[in-house]
Amino acid sequence: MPRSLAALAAALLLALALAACGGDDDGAAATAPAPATTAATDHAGAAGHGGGHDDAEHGAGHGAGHGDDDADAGEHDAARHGGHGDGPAQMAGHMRTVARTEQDGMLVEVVAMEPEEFTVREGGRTIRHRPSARDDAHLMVTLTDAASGERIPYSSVQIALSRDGRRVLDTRLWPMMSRHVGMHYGENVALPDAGRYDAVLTVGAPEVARHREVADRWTRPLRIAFTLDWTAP
Amino acid sequence: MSRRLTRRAALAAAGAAGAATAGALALRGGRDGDGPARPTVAAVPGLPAAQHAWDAVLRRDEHGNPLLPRHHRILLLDLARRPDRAGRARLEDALRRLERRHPYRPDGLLTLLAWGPAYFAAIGRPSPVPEPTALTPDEAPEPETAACCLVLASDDEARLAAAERALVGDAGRDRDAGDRDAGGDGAREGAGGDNGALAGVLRLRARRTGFAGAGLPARAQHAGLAGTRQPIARDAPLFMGFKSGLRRNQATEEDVTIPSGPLAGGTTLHLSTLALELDSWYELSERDRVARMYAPQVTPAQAARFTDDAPAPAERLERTAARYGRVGHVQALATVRRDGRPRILRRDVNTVDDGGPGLYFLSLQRSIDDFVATRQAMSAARSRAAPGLDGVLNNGINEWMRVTRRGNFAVPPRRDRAFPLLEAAGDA
Repeated sequence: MPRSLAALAAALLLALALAACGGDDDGAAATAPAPATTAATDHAGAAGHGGGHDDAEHGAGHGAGHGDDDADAGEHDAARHGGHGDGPAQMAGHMRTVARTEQDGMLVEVVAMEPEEFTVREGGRTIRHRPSARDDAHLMVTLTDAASGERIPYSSVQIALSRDGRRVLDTRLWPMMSRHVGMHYGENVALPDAGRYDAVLTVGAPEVARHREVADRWTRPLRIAFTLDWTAP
Repeated sequence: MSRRLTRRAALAAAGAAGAATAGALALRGGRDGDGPARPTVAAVPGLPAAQHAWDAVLRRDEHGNPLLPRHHRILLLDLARRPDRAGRARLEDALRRLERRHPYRPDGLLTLLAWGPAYFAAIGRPSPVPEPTALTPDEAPEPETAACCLVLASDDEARLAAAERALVGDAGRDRDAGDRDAGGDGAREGAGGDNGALAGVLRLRARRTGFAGAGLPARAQHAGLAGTRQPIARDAPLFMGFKSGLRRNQATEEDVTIPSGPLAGGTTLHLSTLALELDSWYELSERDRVARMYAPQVTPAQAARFTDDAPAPAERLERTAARYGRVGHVQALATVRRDGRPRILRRDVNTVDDGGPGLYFLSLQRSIDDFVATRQAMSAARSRAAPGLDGVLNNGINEWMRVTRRGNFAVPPRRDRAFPLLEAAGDA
């Protein structure tokens, strides 16, 4: 599928709506309040994604991404990214912050960019996840301690999109790092149809040892509902 | 031919039942002045004392594993009146009419009526089951807050539809596509059930449709299903391609029956709604799917020979995690057995209510604590030697599911299934 950086830059517009999800609160899951504003921030990237997915060679290692392609992480094909190796220019060209909200001192941002290859360790192997020809974007969520500006690891993030009550996408994002974005949660997704989607983000309580000052922070999962206006590349 | 006649008779009877009760009661908190205080329809003799006693009539596969009825309706209902003896009699009569009309077997109709914390609050009694909560750090489910949950199950979809109509009239049809909201995991609120036998007693909040049985997941996929590019095996009984009801890998009905107290002879029910991520599940090799479902030590050839049990490796879970960097779903659950058997009796069914693959995880257990322990065991494996394994990643099948709703209910024995524990609450 041909991709255009310019098209992707305009791909996402998102308005965080109130997250009146849950109705009768069960006391366990925190619910995001109505966010202050929608932020749509462009980040200029350097190099475009090279396209060129070799699914035949790498079998199923793509898409929502749990493929069993047993690849060597060190075998990265820099040429596919314009020969920039693993520097910042490796990242796909254009990122856009499409949602931002803060709750309980945690800044939650949703960022979209072109599909991106990544690797995952599973069971002693390194699995390469190449974007599929159907994938339209690499969706990322960053979690940041609003007080310190430090990224929050060891959480879990799931995103669900539906339209007219029908589920379109429901996927878990991988905990992931990059030099361009830093620690985030991401996944390549197929979302070809333009239009408005109802989105729900589930952010898990970070499972990590804590110093005393954050011992009681972010101990409950968050459920954040918003509306996503999507324009296909 | 006899099947057609039966179906027609059922439809006619359902219509009659609806007409007899439509509009009979307004929504009100009534005392016992609007009907008899005792049921007027004779009970069908010989039915089990326990509502959850289905096993004796279920069909079996060649290995003796019970097979659930192929189609399910799960009706979530609110109170339409303050619980009282007249309402209880009407509810019991409605259920008895169903039982007189449909034989108690999978090609007839099996039922189960369970009551949640909202009901017990309404009658001023402490709830025997807790409010549902998130059970793992990564989930934020919405709670089921309906007063009760009525499970209807049959191999015959038309019979099931007739039974539903008899109880709630057209309310169910109005919500025919299931209840949805953002993310496909919400229930629509609204009045319903005003022209069925339950009118004036219970009001439909939401309906869920489910199925279980060889060929039904593939049929659902062919009918159009979001998020399933990879073909599902033609004979798979559930979306993920494995059986869930191996008889030695289940608690028995006796195991889950409450032995004493107000609900003696009953059980508890947990109902979760799960969204499944099948595309990436089926991108795994068969070996990896088997490793994730059972254990990394289990091969597809071994799994194919599982007949009535799925034995977990003897190796401790932490050791498996350290050796393989991942653990299997079944072996994680094996850590919470009681007397060598699981603590819960699964009767889960698949669904496409929100357009994508899903699961209504319906389980029976003596105490909701048994379910909680079982669910937490699904996410508990850890090893310092396997930093890539957490509560979700590399941990059984957790990566491919998202819990959207949870509900807890008490299942009284059949004799007390309608407005249970009312006398104890001082209402009678």
